[in-house]
Amino acid sequence: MKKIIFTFALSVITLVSMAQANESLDTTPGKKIRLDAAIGVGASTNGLGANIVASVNNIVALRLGYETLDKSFPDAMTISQSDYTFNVSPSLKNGGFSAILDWYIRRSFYISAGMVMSNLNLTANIKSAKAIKIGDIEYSPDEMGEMTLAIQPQNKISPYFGIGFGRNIGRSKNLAMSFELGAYDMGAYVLNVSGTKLFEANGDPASQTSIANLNETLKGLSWSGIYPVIKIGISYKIWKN
Amino acid sequence: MKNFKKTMLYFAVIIPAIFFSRCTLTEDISSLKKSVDSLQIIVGTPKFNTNIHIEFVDAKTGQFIKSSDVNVVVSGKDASSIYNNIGQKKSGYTSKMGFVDLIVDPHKVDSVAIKTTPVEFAVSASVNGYLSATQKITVDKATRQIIRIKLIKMDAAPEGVSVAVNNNFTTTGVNGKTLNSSTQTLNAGKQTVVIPKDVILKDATGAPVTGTLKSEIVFFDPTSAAAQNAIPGTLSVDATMSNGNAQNIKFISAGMFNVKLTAGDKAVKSFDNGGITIKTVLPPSFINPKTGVAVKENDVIEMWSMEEGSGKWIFEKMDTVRKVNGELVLEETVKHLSSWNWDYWIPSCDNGPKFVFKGSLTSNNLAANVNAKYKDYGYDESDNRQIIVSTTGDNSYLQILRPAQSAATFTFTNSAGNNSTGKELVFTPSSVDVTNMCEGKTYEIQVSEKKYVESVNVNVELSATSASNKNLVLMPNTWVYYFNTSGTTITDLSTSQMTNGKSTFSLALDQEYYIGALFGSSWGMGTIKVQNEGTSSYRLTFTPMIDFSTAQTGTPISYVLPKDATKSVTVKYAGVLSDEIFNSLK
Repeated sequence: MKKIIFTFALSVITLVSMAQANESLDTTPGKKIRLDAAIGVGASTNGLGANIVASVNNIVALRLGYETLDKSFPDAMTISQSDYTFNVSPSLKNGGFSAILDWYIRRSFYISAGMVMSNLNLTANIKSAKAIKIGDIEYSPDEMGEMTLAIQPQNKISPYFGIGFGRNIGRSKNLAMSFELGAYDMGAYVLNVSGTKLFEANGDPASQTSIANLNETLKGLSWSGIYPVIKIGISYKIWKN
Repeated sequence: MKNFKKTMLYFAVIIPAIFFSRCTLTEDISSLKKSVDSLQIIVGTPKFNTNIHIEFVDAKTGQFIKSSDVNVVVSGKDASSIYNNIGQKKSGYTSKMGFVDLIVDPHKVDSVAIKTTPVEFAVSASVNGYLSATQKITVDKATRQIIRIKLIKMDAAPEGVSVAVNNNFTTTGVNGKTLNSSTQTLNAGKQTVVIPKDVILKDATGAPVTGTLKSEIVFFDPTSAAAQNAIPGTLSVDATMSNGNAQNIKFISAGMFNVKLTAGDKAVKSFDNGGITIKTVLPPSFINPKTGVAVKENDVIEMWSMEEGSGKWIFEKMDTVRKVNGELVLEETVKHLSSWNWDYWIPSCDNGPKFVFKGSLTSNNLAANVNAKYKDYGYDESDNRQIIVSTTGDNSYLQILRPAQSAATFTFTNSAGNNSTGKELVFTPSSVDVTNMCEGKTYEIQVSEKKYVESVNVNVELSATSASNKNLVLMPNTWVYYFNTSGTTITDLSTSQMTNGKSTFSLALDQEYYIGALFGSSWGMGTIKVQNEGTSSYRLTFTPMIDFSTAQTGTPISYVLPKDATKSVTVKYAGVLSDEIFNSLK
């Protein structure tokens, strides 16, 4: 938590300072504050999304966006445990709302900081690959039930920091493009397990000693909770002052 | 301005560095691998909702038949759907500690359809020294049922049950033909069994039975309630009537014989060239239910034989009451051996009254003993039954199986068996008038608890892994039985349902209990005792039992556990089983 607070505070201080500095810069005689707005679309490791960008000058811009990613991979792999064989079906859900401040250090180079409300939910559904005889009674995979492992962020709201090339709102032209590298710090990844029917007990907290141990390990990892972001975007200016 | 931009650039570099500066990849991967390698998948054993708990008790003493295992054979219409409680199909099952748990294949149980198309099968129980019994079981609810089968000990039969064993009853030649006429009498000649000379004795395959034959003859006195209660399979029967139709009826017996003739391991099943003659003198006070007055000369009565295996009774013929030397007599020659019964009958039903017991006891789903007393067509019945009392009433009922279409009054009292768990139960209402036991009504009985001995709720969390693989964890779903170590009768038994390895027992302080669970024909058990350890803790001692018959025990395991406000303690036990046993359970 300290890490998040520190990072977030540092980002905000940095950008607020920059904004203040630029505002003072841009309000020098002969230069006026100019409110521009653009809409943009993008693709990133956080999903596909759209955003609205507003700038007060050519140096500082605020981006409000939403991204989403929902992809399933049915029966992508199998694992064996004792004489059971399980099909594993992973799925990835990601995206969320973001509010990010961009500060353009150079004409086409910027640094970004902000907050993201993440929808990250990486799951793996584990189900018997075939019918199994227990005693002399055969149970279909549906009758046996299934187990679900879900990896979610410890913190739903996380700070974001990144650097980018290009622009999220055009400087003089209406069309702009950007390429951005960054990361969220979600605190840590947390594994949750649930189950149905024969696997029901996996969801019982009293039976999750090994899961609790793994979560403790995850929380102790220095990079746990860091979610990398690579993003490309394109925007079109819709409002010029 | 230039300096400011440089400062900002510095921050732009330093912040990502803060993100990643603490990366200790090698150690992280190592600790991750360790945690992932120790991840466990938990698998519960199948939870069978339709569970038939069959108890075998001595008809005279009411005690469980623990000294010998009862051999159980399942037959009948739906026998193929019946398995032991770990889902194994066997040609025969074996009781442990006096009971066996069977289940219905869950694929064959539809909780709605089973009400109109019940699962039906028969259980034949045999054990050395006891009269074999066959009882039909009808399952019309997807819940747990408790069936009690009383077996008659041949050398210690209940009152009103007469037993005659003759090791040298008769002798046959090589063709199975009796060399002489032989007679066995019971009750000073009130009942006789005669086998004439030249009758040919055959076994089930039709082969002659030769040599010296032993006879075991049992007669059930129609005027003795104890004898009528002890009739194997009860008097509520599936019958094939005189018109060939099947019907559920309740017998009013005028006298029942069970005759067994054996030569070594060969048993006589049928006769050629005649048969055996059975005769009984009717008591003058015996009421003919058709006339409503005492039976008299020339009254007619049906004679029935029991079909071995299915337990079904077959109409054989009409007999006439004769007067011989001033006594009313029934006499018949029978040409095959089974149980033979002269009976009047009245219609019975499958949907007897159902009493659902609800209450919040010390622990929900706690087994408790209830004593139900009622009269069924004039016979005093006492059903000392264990029930699972819960707030919802699930699995918590007593249903009278196949009663006659008659009125009855039920009274419920605390059973002495609750004493061992430190409880006394109070039933509201304690008495219920049922106008017709075949109306299929459900009655709700509230159960409350008067505690009079300090008891402790012991929460057990049980899991098992195999010796070779600790990543797959088994958590059993079963029923756990416990009774105090000085108890021997059915009233001493308590039951607790174990779900995913978790179960709760209410144990009286300082009382030692046997505790165990059936897994097929294997009985895992031990003793358990809870004592005070200072003022703020309990000491729980569990001693595994290796061989019950020799009282051989393993090393005791002792836990000191803190008391909580509800006087509950939790014990976690993770067993490591041999691969062979582990694999048989999953």
